[in-house]
Amino acid sequence: MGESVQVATFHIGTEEYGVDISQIQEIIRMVEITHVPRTPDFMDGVINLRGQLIPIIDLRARFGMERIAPTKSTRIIVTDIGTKRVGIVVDSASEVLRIPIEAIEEAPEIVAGVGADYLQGVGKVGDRLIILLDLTMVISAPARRDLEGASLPS
Amino acid sequence: MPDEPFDRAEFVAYFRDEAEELLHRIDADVLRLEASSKSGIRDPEIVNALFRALHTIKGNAAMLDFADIADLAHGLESLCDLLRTEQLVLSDSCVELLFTGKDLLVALVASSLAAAPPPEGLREFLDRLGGVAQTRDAMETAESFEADVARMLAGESPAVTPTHLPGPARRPTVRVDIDRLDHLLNLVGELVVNRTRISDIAASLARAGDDPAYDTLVESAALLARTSAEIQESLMKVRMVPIGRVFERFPRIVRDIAKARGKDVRLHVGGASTELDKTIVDDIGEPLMHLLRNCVDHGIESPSVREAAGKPRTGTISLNAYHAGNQIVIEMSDDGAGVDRERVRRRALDAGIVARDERLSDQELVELILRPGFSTADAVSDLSGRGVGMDVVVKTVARLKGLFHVRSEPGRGTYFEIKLPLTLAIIAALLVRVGKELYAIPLDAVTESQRVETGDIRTVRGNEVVMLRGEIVPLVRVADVFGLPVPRDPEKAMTVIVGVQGRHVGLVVDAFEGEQEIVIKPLSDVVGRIVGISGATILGSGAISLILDVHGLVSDAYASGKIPRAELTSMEA
Repeated sequence: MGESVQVATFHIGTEEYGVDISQIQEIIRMVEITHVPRTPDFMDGVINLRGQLIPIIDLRARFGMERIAPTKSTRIIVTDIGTKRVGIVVDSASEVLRIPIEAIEEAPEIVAGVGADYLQGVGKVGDRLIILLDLTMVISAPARRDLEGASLPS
Repeated sequence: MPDEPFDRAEFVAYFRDEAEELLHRIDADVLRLEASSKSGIRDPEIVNALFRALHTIKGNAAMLDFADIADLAHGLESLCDLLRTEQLVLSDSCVELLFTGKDLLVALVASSLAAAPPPEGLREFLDRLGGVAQTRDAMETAESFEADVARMLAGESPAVTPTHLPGPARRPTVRVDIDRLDHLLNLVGELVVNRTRISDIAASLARAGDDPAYDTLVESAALLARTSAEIQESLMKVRMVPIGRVFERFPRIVRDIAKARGKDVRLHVGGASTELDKTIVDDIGEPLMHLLRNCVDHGIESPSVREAAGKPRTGTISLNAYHAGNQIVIEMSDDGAGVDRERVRRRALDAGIVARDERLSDQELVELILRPGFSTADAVSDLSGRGVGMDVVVKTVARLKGLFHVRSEPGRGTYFEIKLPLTLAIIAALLVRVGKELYAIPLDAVTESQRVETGDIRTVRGNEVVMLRGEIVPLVRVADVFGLPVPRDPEKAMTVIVGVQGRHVGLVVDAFEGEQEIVIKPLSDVVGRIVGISGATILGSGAISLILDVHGLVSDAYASGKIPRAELTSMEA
């Protein structure tokens, strides 16, 4: 058995995504989010996680997809990206999977709705396709650009 | 050397901290020595203090095998010993020798800690020192020195000197990592938040039932409140350090710049014991240094010019600090030439900071020197006048939530004033509600809060204003600024009047929710910097309240030359 990566998977719409488990701090149910004005649309606000303020990014909005109202299965995945702790809102969280390196393919140019910037690859597990996300990109360069252009609500 | 094991890294850190402190003191002592030799009044305690400081550095350095440091400290110590025993008369060259030696020592400590080669000129300087000290071998015997080191390793404090020198008694102190204090402060923050909550619960229970236990609970809650308030206050005090730590190095800097510029400058320092938060002290040193350099470089005239103007040849710079309410005020003034308005205007024109036909008041002209990229220096000097400096001061002070003022009178001098909060961690705030959001407004910015009838709101060029005791106060609707979908109350507007730098703005909110002490938490940098929001706090209920950045909101409103009502209404549409 060769090398493999362990990922936590979650759903957005009909697609299944995976994030390296070492980046995940915890997964919590949806809680009250305090809106922070003058931030980009995908920035939902901040939550209080045991006395710590965690910024929350809506992944649907981040990917330019239509937002949906939170449901019972909506989850916040609290991740540690570098030194930053960020919560991301997903439709539902599913499981932890081990994917062999050789089952991971480079991401095709365009994957429905998601800029190739965010993708590390696509993992094939049985007949499931798991889109592996690069979380750094979710909060970094493109995010910063949007932030700077969004000092006022429009 | 004894070969007992000891934690070297910890000792080195201790050595660095202590050496830094002692070197600051040495600087001040040499200056005092120079002054006392000029005035002819001899104070043996100054030389004794110098001797003690150098001796301590020597001992610690030898223990850590920093041979160069020990040698240099020893050489300087010997020089002091000659002065102390009056075998050597204090001369200008002697003072110069001490200053150079101290500078070398600073460089040497830095290079030794970085395991870098020693600074240039060390050997030559040691030879020079040796030449002076040749008259007598002033060192104490190697034996007693070794004995000191052994004692120190055994955890005892070293004998101050072989001979008994009088010195101020030292209270026992500990050094604590600032991170540990920050952590404690965070915990206390949570405690304070919960104490409020418990008091509320106790009070409502006592109102609802007549069980005597409830009254006991209220008492307990009150006691808890008092104790936690005291812990909080004590902890804040632990973080407070005298601003004199920053002032310490200034006399030397002034002396050096003045010498290099051929000027005669006296620095008068007051209020050095005024305390403020450690983190602020750390950040305010650099800006003050810029101001000081500017005063010497651009403010104080050369002795001949001063004399011609009928002023004393020696210029005076006064630096003073004092507490005023919840703030610390730092004043710096010089009795120099003042800001040259014409030259400032020319420079500002050249630099494209103002337009040719722009009309500026006298005060506005003076304040041009605070703009980024502004410099009046005809020649770029190595000390100031590179067009950086003043705007750095403005930026740092703003970041520390402080205020910065400058006044200048031609021929009479320039006056700078910095006002800073004593601490940045916990503040008293007024909670307000806008829609379903709660916002906290720092109480020190709040002038008053009141209900304004809609009929009293006028418009000036489309901007909403109210009259407040003859003053026109623009209104800022928080809901509009933050784009919150909140319907307007047709009858009244709950208004919090806030003031920054003498300008007032009325913040329109939906309701006042009382005052509270809050712990400021920064918003993650993932969220980015937001104009109008300076952070957040967690309330007793666990809910988050964003803290309004009054400074940002007011200058935002004024910067655009109008309160942007017209734009905001179009945005709502």
